Amino acid sequence: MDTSVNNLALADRYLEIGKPERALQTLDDAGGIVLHSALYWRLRTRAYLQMERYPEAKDELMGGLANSPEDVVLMYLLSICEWKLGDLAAAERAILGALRQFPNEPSLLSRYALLVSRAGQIEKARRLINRAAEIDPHDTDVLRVRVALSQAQGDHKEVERLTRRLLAEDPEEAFGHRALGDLSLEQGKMGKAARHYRTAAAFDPSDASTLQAARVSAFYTHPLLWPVRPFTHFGPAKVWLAAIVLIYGLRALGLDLVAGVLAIIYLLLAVYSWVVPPLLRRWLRRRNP
Amino acid sequence: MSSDRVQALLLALEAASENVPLRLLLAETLQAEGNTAGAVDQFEILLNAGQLPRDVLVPTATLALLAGNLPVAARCLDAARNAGVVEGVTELQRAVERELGAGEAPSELTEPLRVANQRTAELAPYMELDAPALGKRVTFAEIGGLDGVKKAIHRTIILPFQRPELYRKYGRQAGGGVMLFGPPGCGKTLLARATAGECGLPFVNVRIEDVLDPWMGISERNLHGLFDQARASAPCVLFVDELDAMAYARRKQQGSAGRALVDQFLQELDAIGAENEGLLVLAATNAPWDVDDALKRPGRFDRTIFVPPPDEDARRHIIRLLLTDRPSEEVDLKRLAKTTPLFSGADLSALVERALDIVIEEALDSGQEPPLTTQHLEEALIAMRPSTLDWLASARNYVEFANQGGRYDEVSAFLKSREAKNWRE
Repeated sequence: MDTSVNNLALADRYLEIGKPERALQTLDDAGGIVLHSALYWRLRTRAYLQMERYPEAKDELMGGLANSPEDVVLMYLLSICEWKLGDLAAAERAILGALRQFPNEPSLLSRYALLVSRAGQIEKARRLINRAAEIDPHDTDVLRVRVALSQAQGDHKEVERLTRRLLAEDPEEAFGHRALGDLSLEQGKMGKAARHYRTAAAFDPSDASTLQAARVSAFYTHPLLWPVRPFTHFGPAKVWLAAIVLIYGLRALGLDLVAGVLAIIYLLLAVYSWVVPPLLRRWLRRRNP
Repeated sequence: MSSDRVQALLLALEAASENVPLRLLLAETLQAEGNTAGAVDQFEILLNAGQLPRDVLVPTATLALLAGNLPVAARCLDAARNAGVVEGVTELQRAVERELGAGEAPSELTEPLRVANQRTAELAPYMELDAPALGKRVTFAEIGGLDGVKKAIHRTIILPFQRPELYRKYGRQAGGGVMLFGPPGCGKTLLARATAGECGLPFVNVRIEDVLDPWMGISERNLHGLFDQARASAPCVLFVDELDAMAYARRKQQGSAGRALVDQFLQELDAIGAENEGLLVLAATNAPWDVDDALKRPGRFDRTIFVPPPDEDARRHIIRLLLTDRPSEEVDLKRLAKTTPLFSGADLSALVERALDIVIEEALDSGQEPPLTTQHLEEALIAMRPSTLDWLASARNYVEFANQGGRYDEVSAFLKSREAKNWRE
């Protein structure tokens, strides 16, 4: 076997374990007939996509498509690349090119659904993803997109149902736990959200946004911040308004003493909410560098 | 249908049939036009005449395999071996063997391969064994610092080999699996070599490149072969570099091929159908979190050792070693060691190289030959930052969110150490 063919296998491995630079080095050492194979160009493109170097990824794709204009994987990668470069129309053309060859491929339909949802065509996205779900209801790609669409439509019940199904397929799916965290947060269940975010972060500690969500939610569920929960849950403006209405209401009822005590407690609470969170944040940062 | 170019070349060859460059050009043109069989025919004519250039032998054999012309492939392989070609011959041999195994081949083809296989098998142990077997031995004395790590390795790995009677008395066997992990460039591979050197054992180095093969089942066979070879040389140290590439967590893998390789690895570590007595399996990785969990269970890589960036004393030692045999004067090692927290051995080496570039530039400008001083090193240091920072940032996330069972406690302690804080301040 040509060493270059081994290089392709090696590069594929490096991409799988998240080492795109090594993959590119290995591909640079390849030569001969493999340079004319679609696989070679797919691997180069994937390497640049992993490094988030989208213009270079597109250059590689053009090279690959010049050699293999009908390669469906290259078209799929082109749609991702164009999307990342902000050209949704070109991304749509690429994914449609792939779909012409494989009209019933769930991952292509999912990608297309995601694309049209980004363009604001939620109903069309919904139709596409339903078609994909009919073909393969257990496909995790399809389930992920269905969850994302339900989130976009604010359908909490559906988000929960689909996420549970996704986690039934793969209990270690970080996206599912993240979605449940988002849902809990929207429902005002900070403690539950923190637990879901933490689980998501444990399964994928490489996702910066999940880590951030886990850290922030963990911070707000710290026991020292329990007294300021109303502020974080309802927002400071609503809490202030409610306190003022309550205090004046009590005074109007002639309960001046109770209103006075409540006003003092509330003012202390307000001061606490200004002072303690920054101090706690600093202390936690020092403890977990 | 042949192109005009091919027709013209054929006409020219009718007039000068022994023109080798012309025939090569024709073969390449046919290959470029997709006529593989025609190209192989032209290469075969040159092969028969003994005029096929040395550097074309392996590509021709590969092409012949693609065209299904096994006899030509086998003859090219033989010619390449006789011509002393090294690059690509082993892979080619494997491919020809596979093709031979797929169908019945005439005995005149299989016989030279059988002899070649036997020769390779005889040579294999000498080809794969590393430095200690060839006389050059690395020991802990050549590694700067890392005293804690060296002590841990000495207690858990070296002593069982040096004082087997003591360990036998308590029912402990020598051997087993140890995983070294830490940021890149901090001496994991060197430590593994030195461990083998300290034990006085042969060192078999296994890299993903030696194992991975695009054909189904061949990677597993390669891995098994390497383990078999190590068992035959036992007691010995089998060192697996980049363990995460070899045994990437199966739950994260997309395809089934990688999973099969992890399964095979587990079988080898469990010594199913074999005996691992006296076989010490050392592994190094930058990404312990990407290694399949099954490998970290008792009986496999149950001992994990964190190899941190060198501490201040170690850095001083490393810089001193790096400056040996180089013209230097009044280098304040203590000051430099203090100002380079989290620098890996590789970073320090780069620092000295950069400082030397500055000295050479000065020498070229002034016409004199000044020695390397602290000032040069500090000037070079201005533009440098430790390469371990990215690794430590990732490690911090794993410590915070994925430290089940305290597997990254050592990393956590390091992140809280003064050493790690020095850089931030």
